[in-house]
Amino acid sequence: MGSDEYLVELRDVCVYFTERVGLFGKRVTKALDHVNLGIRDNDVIAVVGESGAGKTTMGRVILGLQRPTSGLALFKGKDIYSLKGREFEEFRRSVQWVPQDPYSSLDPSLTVGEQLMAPIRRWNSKVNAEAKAEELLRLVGLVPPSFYMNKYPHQLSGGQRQRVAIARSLASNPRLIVADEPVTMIDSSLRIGFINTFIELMRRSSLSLVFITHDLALARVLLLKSGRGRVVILRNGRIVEEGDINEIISNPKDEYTKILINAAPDLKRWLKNREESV
Amino acid sequence: MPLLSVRNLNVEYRLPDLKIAVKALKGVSMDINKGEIVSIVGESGSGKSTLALAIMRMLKPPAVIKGGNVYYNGVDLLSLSEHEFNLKYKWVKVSMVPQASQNIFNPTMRVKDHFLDTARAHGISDEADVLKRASEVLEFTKLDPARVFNLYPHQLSGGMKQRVAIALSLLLNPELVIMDEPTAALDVVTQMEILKLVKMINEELGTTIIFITHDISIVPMVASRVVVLYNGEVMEIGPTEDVIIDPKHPYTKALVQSTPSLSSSPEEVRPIPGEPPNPLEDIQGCPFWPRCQYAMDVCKVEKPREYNINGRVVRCHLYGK
Repeated sequence: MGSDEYLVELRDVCVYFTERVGLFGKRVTKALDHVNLGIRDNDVIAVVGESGAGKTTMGRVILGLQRPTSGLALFKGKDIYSLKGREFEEFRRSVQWVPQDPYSSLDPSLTVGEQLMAPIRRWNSKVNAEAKAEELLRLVGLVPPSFYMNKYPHQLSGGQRQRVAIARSLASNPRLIVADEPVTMIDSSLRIGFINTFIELMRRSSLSLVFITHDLALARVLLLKSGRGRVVILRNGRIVEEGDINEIISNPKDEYTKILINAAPDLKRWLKNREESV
Repeated sequence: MPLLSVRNLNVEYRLPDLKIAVKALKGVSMDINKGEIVSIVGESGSGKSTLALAIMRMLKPPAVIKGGNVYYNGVDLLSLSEHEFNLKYKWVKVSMVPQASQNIFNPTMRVKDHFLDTARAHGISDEADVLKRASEVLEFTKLDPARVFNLYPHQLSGGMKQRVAIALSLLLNPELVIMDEPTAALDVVTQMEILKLVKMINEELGTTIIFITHDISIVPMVASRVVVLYNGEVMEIGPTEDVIIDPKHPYTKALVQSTPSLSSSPEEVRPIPGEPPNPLEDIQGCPFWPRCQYAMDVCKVEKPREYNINGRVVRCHLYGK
């Protein structure tokens, strides 16, 4: 398979962080260790692992924010980290991210409309930024858009802020979004709303998604609802398992995957175990 | 007699700029019995932390307690002088693992000094004694005192910080510990370990625990009873199993349904419709009616009273007849 079939490809990517210890010592942290990953158009990839597994580092490599120590990160077959000029511009436009925490990633001094119109103008000076911003708000389910355009982030609920962050990532009409699922501050009841928004977006337009989470159950809902894609289990910077989510949950090959499955809070399993023990 | 009994507690946050008072707790009543783990579950803004801080008498302006009582073994904690409360109850009988305990530590102080500092605040100055006790509680939380005593907070992982915060709460051997979101910001594997630790504290030390969380899916792993809070009001109280198998209140039902499991069909999992209530707006009637699929006309005008159904407390008009 030619690598140009991939929108983004990681080829044997390593990211090592070197830390000085004492005067002469060094400690090397392998955030990513020989990772291979291919992302096509309309792909959905759920990256699951515990904190420190390298999930966010992987996202940053894909986004062009973290140069690999060795290996290649490719956008349409070309090394992301040596793209220049128009090609780099195209990469930036095509690959966007939704950061972890919508409480700190939105500018508190800008209205929702302003947060959206700035990147819209940046990417397309000819378009009517206001109309486009309203269209994006509608896309993420913030209706009527006029109600939200003049609001400041602090006037919105956590779930609404998340949707503004998603809308903002869509301003450049990207082909791939890397979404880092928030682990803190966000109510668990909002997580389903967060992924439903992505499902709806992918239904309407051609979009690939890399969804970073530590929650296997949430990854499963995302993959089943979108009807495609796969899960990637990361541990200590390595991909230990990759494939169909139901297959991996029912038949985990790696010990670590089993640990993740057992640690996942699961009301249904709890009920079942309880019935069996009665 | 319950160990802790909260009666009709009302707390407001006064916002002078806006000339309004935000009602954070509206007539909250609940009982905590000796030796149990009770979970308080609700979305952000539901008043969970305000309730914890009110019990600990740690609310600061602009928060004001507008009425109600917090009885501890029959003594109203809110009526005591601050001196008496600090001397006899705070940390001695009732202690707390505050929210975001990742950030509660003084970055310039070693772990050891946090224990000494806490003890000093309660008039205990014998360092050797304190460190001996600190070693015990750290060991109990599965940390090696010899190693962590001399570490600074930034040298601890998230899970270790949580363990140190829990150890600090146990320092003076309290009867009741209030843990505010002790597993927030932890990944599922570390979360599991902390939940096991919480159960162990309860079982082996006999400590009564109030476990606050926004995530109902972890509640059955620790708590025998659950209190469901919404917009500063109690919606439902009952044994964890009953509440999760057969939620009576529509809000509890929606909360359970919004939780994905490893085997649920994707259609079963639904977000709670609508948006969480805006604390600045006073909702007439039941606070949940704007998001409730069972809402009736009466819900919009009249606050539901408390109904007792098979040992459960439910505040919903559905059970009015």
